[in-house]
Amino acid sequence: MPLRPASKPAAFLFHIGALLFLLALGYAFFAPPHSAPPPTYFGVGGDPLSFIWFLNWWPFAAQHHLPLFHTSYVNAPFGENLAWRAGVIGLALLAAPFTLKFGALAVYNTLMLAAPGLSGWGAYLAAYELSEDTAASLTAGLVFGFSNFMLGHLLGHLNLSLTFAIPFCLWACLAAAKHGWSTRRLALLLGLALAFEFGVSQELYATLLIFGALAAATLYALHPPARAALARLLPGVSLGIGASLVILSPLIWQMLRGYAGGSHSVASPADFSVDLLGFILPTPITRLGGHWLAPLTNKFGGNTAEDGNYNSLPLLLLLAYIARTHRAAPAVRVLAGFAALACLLALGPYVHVLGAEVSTAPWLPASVLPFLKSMLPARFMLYAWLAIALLLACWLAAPGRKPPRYALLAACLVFILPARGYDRNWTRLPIPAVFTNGAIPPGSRILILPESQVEMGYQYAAGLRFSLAAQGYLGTGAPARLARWPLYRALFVQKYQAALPRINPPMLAAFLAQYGVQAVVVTGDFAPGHTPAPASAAVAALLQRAGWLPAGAGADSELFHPPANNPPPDAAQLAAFMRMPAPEQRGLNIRLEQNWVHAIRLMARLTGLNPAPLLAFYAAHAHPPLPVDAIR
Amino acid sequence: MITHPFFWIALVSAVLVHRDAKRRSAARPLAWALAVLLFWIVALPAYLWQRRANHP
Repeated sequence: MPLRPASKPAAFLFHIGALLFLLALGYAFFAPPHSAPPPTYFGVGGDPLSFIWFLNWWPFAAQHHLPLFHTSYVNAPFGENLAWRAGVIGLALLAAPFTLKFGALAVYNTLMLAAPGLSGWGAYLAAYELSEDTAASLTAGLVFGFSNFMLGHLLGHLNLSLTFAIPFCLWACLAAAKHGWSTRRLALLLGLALAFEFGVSQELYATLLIFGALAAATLYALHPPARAALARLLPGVSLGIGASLVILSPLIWQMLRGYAGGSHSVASPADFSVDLLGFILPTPITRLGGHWLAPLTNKFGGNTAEDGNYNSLPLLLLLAYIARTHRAAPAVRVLAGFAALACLLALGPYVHVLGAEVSTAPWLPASVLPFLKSMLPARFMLYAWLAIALLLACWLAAPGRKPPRYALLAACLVFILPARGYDRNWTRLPIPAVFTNGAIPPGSRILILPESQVEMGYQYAAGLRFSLAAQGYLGTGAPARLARWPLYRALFVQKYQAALPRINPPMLAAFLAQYGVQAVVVTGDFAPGHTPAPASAAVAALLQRAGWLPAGAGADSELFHPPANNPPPDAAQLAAFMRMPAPEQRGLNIRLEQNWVHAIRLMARLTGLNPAPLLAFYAAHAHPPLPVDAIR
Repeated sequence: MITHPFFWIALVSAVLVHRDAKRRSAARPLAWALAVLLFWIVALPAYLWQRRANHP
């Protein structure tokens, strides 16, 4: 017998109990392991700090009467168009009273801790409408709320973790069809849920509309008797979408206005598509096998947070078994078809196998169309996981013996349990004293080096007392006028930091003067008797060679001020700097030359020739100043 | 503009499949061509398999 509450109030209590259970489970799983001294944030890398910054930005901008969708606090002097950034504006405005009282960092941590439970609860509600079985629905909530997709994005993507509104929209449609809701009631609920989702993630709002249409098409094709119900829902759904568009019209208008300038910063769909082998190979966020297979799965495109397609072979086999043996059940047929479609589209424009493109894939035409090209296919796995969770609930609730089914599912879910190291993904953010002790005058334009994607956290901790010149991580992309500088990648992209010592000092001085940088903070271990990290030492030395003056060092940072005479470069100087090779490219060129010299020596040794004239010929004709004798 | 080599491989394959399917009066030549264009790695082997099965 399915576990089903006897009355409406009992059902309500069951639902609230399920919410509390899922929230408690999320908290128990992700709560900080020890009382780390603040500030500590949930997640890793720069993404969480950009969300904390955004949660703080919207109330800050409203309080200080600043333009909401353009900020000069990052990438100064050009600033940043925020309309196309993952700015979680809806969440930020709803949470503003709490942000003002407790701070954005506390609000961010709370939202991230609540995200798996809330999202799981949405799936629970939808599954309950389908199955009317509390235990099966709770299982669906667990599968969705703690799915590989969710666990990946819980590494730092607030906008993709708080997905409650998506299963909630599905629940509203199912409930409307089942209980005969009025058009107005469905439209109101859908309108509010869709508007909320847009405020959390514009991308998920758009994909929700697309996948909602695909779900309806799948239902239409695979279960003809449901066509009449679909037709009855159509007015309510249309009105709901229309209502959300009306509520969101100011935001959509800002996005359309900033389309040309802002949409370029969205990552490439080909890079953020799921790998074909990702369905069966666990990534490092998975406990069983994730670590051993990391050398293979590191070849996947995008990053670990985005590889949300790991189902595990046992679960895939179970799903195939369910789809085959229960295909007579319309819900199973439709959900299996929809999950397969979502997985297919998540492959992106090209099929990838261990990161290598091996074929075209169905998302190819969409990946070149306006707006659609801004969606990252790997994130379509959200819909696949939702369908999988509901499919499992329907199977668990189907007539027959339940314990073997739960046991079989539990055995399959063991393979997607998260890794032990992952469930403690809290990061401490020590704030160098220079940002808060008044050494930097309010309103200054500063640069924080070496780049470590934590500058947004420093700026937030300092209460936005300073703006960041030519830097500020709010997602991918940088203003083209900054990125064209040859020193840009060595200075601001972490993987090119080895080239820092090769930056031309006059070019750096010109760069800093051109953008009116008033101070540079070099972070690192500058305590007496300690040796700062190579990147910090390289930046400090480079600044001194560029004529900048040390203005005081703390244990965790050193402050530099510009020289007294610091004119910006004229047009001819600028043009000359732009023609210079990039420092990281110079490094590559040197390695290439070294390889050629080694190859010539090897060839001479193998053929018994004298290498000296060969090298002399090469040096004279290919690279005259090449110090051949110095290459060992 | 799509410049990826796999797109062009898939496009040429799709044109050839369309011509072949029409020549053999196979069912839905345009659907086969589209499938090959959009999911080359699965659709092309599937077409070749059904072609062989129908015309041994």
